[in-house]
Amino acid sequence: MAILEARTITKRYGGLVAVDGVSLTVEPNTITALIGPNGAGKTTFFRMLAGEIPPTSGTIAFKGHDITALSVTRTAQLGIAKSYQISQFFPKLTVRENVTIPALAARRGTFRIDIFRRIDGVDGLEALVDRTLAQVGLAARADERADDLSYGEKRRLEIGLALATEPELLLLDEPAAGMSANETADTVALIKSLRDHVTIVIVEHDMDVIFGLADRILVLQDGKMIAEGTPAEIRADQRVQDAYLGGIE
Amino acid sequence: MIARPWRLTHPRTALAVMAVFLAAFPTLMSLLGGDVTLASRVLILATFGLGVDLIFGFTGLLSFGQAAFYGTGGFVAGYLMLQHIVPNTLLALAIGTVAAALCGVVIGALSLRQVGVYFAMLTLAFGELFFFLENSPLRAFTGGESGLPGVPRATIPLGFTTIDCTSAIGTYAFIAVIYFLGYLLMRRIIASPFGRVLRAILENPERAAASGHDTLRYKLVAFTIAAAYAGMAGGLLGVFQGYMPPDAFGIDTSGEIIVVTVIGGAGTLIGPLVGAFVWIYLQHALQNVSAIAGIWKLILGLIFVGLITGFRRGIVGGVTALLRARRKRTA
Repeated sequence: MAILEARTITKRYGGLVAVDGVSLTVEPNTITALIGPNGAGKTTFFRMLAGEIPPTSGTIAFKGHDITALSVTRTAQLGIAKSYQISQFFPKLTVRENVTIPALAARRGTFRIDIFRRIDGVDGLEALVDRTLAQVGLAARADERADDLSYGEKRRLEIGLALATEPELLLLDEPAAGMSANETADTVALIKSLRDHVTIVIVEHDMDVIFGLADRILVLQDGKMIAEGTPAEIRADQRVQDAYLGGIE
Repeated sequence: MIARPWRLTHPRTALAVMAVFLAAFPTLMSLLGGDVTLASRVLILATFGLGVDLIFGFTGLLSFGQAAFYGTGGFVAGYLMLQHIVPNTLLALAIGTVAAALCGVVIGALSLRQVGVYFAMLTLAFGELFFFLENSPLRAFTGGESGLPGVPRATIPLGFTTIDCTSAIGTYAFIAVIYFLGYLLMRRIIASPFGRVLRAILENPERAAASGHDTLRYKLVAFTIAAAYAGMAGGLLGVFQGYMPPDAFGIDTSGEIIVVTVIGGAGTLIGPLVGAFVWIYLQHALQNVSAIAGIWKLILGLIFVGLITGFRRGIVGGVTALLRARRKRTA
């Protein structure tokens, strides 16, 4: 069964149609990529998948449950996590403390008044935090303030914050944006290492990243889906060539 | 982190230092030209400030309506004792605290959906509403503009005997024990998983929500705890003065407690204590200097402008940063 099924999702802002009837089916343990020129509606579509904004029409189902109207807090608890294009962490907390925040949500649920418990008394918390820090390669930097990390490290922390919610579906919004070639290679390796544990949907501008990672690619233009297929199919697709890939090959 | 018991930050050391300080505080005050009642006043304000620190310093909620809870706790406890409905001081204070907390739930539920300045304005409006309620519709209970004179001093009935806290030092001891317990509880709250989520809300509320935390409910509980601390402090004020003044509900009270918390250092827990000390001691000291009798408030204001400009993170925050910088240099 598909882990995520978005059906004819539309988002209107007044007269502007940002996303126009886009459907997407994601199978478990795959990497699906969304590409398209600026303003194609990728980010808006992504925000709807994460529950940040509701679609004007259409439905989204996660593991068979309708999540269309759920808040981002509920979708996070169900197992959808998003890493943001612009790093959204807790700047004055250490790296370890940062990762503790989503881990606490994963281990304690949306809300609990446990004022007499110590943080290290939460079951499985430390293991989850340590595992996440190791996954994103920040174990050695755990006691640094998040603000003091390098740009590449901040981007990895961003992914770590998403992973620490123990998601089944990970939405990555331009994980390699602004990275050097080396940092990009590290990020690609990191995402590859995740694919066995978690299903990934990724928005990315870097075509090398996309074609190196994705099992399926969705091409958006002007809010509409103009092509869908394997990397090889997308490369060969004439409409995609015309609309987007233009001078690449 | 390695536990270093001699460090002030070690929990047991911090509590021992606090206990010793509270025991020595009245003496310290008289050495500085004050007296034990001044010390009591500082601790009442510091208790009030612990709650403000939780919501402002640790959660990022700036409320201008804390007087509503201070007044509610004070007048409910004061009325119950004065009318001999609840003669037991501790029980009356507890009921006042619960009443303030309930008001906190209601006001919090109605205002916490708003953020930033809109939240601040709503709490300000609720604070004014409570001031009006005290003054007019509820004057039969609150005494309106005259407040409640004759609130009995603290006694603790133990069945076989009664601990009398009616002397000035007895009242101080009573207040000091309650402040200490309040401080202890707040330390636990801050160190708990619940407290960590509040820190996350302070730092980045959107990400805290996207991580799967129901931030609205966390904020509501924090706001309620702060209201309870305010209510307890208000009750202590009545017991301490033998009189519950209507200006406990005043907007000055709401402003004062923010100034005290910010000057001392929001987000440090002992900040409100330091701030309350500076605030109350300076008022006392400046009023007694005859040369500046007419303009002492102006001078107090200038000192606070200086403190806030010089210590952006309050006195405690500023001093901690200085010490850390020095340690780094020597290391």
